[in-house]
Amino acid sequence: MLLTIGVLGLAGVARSVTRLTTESLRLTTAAVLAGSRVEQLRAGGCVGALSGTAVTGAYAESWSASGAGAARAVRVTVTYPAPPGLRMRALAAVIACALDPPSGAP
Amino acid sequence: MTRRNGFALVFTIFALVLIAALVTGAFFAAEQELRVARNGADAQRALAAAEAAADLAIAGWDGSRLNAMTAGDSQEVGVSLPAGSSPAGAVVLRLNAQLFLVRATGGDPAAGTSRTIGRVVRLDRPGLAVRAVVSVLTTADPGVASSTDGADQDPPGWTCDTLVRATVPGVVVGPWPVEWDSLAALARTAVDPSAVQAELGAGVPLVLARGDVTLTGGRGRGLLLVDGDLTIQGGFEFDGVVVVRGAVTMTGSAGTVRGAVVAAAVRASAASPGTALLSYSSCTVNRALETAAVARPIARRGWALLF
Repeated sequence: MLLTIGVLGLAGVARSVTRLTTESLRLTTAAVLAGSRVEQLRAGGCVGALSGTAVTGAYAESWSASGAGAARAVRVTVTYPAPPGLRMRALAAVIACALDPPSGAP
Repeated sequence: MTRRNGFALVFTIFALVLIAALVTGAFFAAEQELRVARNGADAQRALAAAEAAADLAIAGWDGSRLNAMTAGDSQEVGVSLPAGSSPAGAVVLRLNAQLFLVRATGGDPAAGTSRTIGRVVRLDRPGLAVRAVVSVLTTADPGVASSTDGADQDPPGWTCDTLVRATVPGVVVGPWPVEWDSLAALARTAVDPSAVQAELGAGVPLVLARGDVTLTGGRGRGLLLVDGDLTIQGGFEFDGVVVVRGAVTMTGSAGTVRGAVVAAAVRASAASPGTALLSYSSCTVNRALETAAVARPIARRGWALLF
């Protein structure tokens, strides 16, 4: 009886350990993917495509931009499975158009 | 009968305690790992907010305010971050005549995380050497010379610390003292010709228009670039530099330009002959070029994580 209770308790804790480890791995990966996407968008400047989607393994990325003029506001979201459902990580950034060629420049 | 004591229960309890200690350690380590991951993600959001604040401060550079600072002065710059960002703010510090440090801090109060970055920007000042009140590429009407005054004078109400005042010729015909392309590149976007008067009235320091522009009445100051013809009438007053790729025409009761004019051709017909429609002012020229200077981030070694 005592052994059964102990083993069941240990199994429960082990399950929690696995869940925490998996969650931290997925959160870190989602943050890295979001940061990487922002850097890619920033490298493309304001003339590049500023909205789209991509899937990397279990992670689904989507990004969109708003605004006009000298800067664009960019929002990147990464959705990943976190049983029993899905979890989302969002990163907001700004792309400055200062280094782009002026519109209509000769 | 000999009584034999068993040790299975003791061994089992000992084993359970040992395993429980190991699993608890693993649980603690996993929880720490999750905290580290969350902190890392929050730090990333704070850094993104700081970068956004710095970028917005540079993109929305207010030359009339920031370019007027002296070395060592600093000013806070208001930035409007996109929804979902961590809060952030930026301060601009003038380092010397050409360089500024933009110091931006982003932070997530919920997580207690903040990041501060510094970006170095330099002023890209329009390169324009004024040789005369009116510099024309081709022709100037004979009446233009009598409508110009080359004596250096400050506009009424201006406070200028001009040390040396020189008189320049009224009209000079010859190659332009400035490259149009480099000037136009300073203006990120061109405004509609019909909106030029409103832009000038709002105090925009550098206005670029593509097409023919007509200015009637009112006032303006700064650097006006017109990729077309410019007509000034109805007493419009301008303090600064006007660069026109086509012709400048001043008609009717005309107006006044205090500063310098560069154009392909100039036609001026003053209502009262002998009235100076175009006069030279080193003060307005220098201030127009200074406030129109735009901030450009330094490409290499211009970004640093401060803490």
